[in-house]
Amino acid sequence: MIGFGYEHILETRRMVEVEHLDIRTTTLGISLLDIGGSDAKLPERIYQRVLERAGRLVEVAEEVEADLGVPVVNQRVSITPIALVAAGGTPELFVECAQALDAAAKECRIDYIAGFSSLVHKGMDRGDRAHFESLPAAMAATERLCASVNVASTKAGINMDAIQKLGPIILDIGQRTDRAIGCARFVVFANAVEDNPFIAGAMHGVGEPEAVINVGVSGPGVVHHALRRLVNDPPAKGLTLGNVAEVIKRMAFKVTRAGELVGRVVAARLGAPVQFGIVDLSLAPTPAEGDSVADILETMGLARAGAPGSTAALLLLTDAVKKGGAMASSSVGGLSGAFIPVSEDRSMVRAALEGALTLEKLEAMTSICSVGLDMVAIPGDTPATTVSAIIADQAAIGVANQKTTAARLLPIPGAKPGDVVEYGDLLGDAVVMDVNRFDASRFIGYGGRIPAPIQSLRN
Amino acid sequence: MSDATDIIDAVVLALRDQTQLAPEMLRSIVHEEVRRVLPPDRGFRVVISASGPNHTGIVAGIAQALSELGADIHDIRQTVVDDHFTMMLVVDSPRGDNEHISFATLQSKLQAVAEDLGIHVVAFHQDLLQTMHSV
Repeated sequence: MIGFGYEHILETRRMVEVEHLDIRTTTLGISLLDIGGSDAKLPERIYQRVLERAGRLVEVAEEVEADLGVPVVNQRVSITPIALVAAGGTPELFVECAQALDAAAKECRIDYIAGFSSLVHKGMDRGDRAHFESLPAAMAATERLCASVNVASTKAGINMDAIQKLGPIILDIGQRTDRAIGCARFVVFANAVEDNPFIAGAMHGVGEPEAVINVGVSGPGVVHHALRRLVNDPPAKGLTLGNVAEVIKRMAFKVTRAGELVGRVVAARLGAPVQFGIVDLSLAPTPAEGDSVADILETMGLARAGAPGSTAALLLLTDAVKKGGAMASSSVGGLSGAFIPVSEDRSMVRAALEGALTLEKLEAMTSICSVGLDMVAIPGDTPATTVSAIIADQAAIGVANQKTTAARLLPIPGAKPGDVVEYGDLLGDAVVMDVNRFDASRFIGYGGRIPAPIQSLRN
Repeated sequence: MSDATDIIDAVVLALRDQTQLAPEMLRSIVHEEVRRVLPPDRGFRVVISASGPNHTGIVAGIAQALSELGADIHDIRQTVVDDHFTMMLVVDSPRGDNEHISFATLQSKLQAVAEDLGIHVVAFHQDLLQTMHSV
């Protein structure tokens, strides 16, 4: 056979059946720029556009899953940031758009629709302010809608006015939704990307074409099992971290290739104007047994994720994934790093419960990983200014290191550190983390902008 | 060689120096496009992996099912280790005068046979294996 041997057939079977290889998401990004406005018919136009583009998405994905033999687990939709689409609208109009998007998602049988977003890294305009004002009501009125705000970029600096406003907004969303689940659908970014396929932070950036399919692949299980085999059967000369990097690279290659194939086939079958966009190389865990990024860190020799050495191990992991993935595909994009969501990764949850993983160590790891403080539950009585300060810290890490960082914080009303909130499904169990109690309110109170760092002057 | 395979080969040959895509990826894309234009499901190649507790009649059962669908076995390898049976087949879908079967039809037939025989059968499209396992 050309291009593969019998051993590869068994390898593929093992990857799919045992090691949880699957296409985590095929996300259809849809441009709404041409139907924007601030009139009362906007929500209906949005609804119809989503149906038009995404009506067949689930059906096609199921067909491709059957035809190729690899599971295509989730289908999602992302849209142009809503603040651009409804730029002249009132907060009430924004809420109606939110409901239209939610209804469209239900009609298309997709579990999440993302892009209820604004980009405010340099400042806010009317649309952005209306978006902010609409957020608590919009998240409370919807079940499948995902929202995000980009508050900083390496070029623009950090919009501390926006961050100041978002502290109380996040607390409000937390209070208005059951166990703050609305906050699980809201992300604050620095250096947000235009083609991220993973919810909750997906959005269809303004530089993107009319409609694209972006793919996220689930590889943690595959990488983990490959490393376990390596550790149990090391090379004769002894095992070094160089060997570890090699194995991860090879697995990332195969996983990325599978993802790109699925993405191209789905896009081709949906037909014009849909085109294939990118594969996001990110290792994205799920709560399922054996599908954990923390497990990989443990196999690499750390007692728990969060132990000293975790940041270095994550660097090796993320870099090897990128190198393998970059070899596999010329269409790499999205976040393309490692995800360290505390609730969606079973072994991360265990590490947090045992006290091995603290908020401060998570923050250090965000300088290396690709999503920042993700699904981090905090006590509901955390002051709004502290929530803002946590976001500001994330923004600083992203802006200084020219990478994407984010915060998806869940302030759980009535919860104390160590409490566990069970969301189930893909969101998993969230362990309430201990937050430093020292006050940041005067710092946050000043507002303004933290200027772009000197590394932004690259021309 | 089916008409589709000839066309795909010719297009891939013409394009391969003008694209940065890996040959297998280019082939997959061309294959997709050709499939959309030609009658559906002509000339695809499937890799089937079957395994389970050994007993008589497994090879015959699977071969019979494939024969009923008019699928042509291109390559086959089978072994029994400690009473555990494993078999891999590369199968061409029917062409010519036979009725064209879809991948979905093949899959459901295989699953039915697997259940009757008490074994586990999995089928992959050849494209998946080629793109994943070669540089």
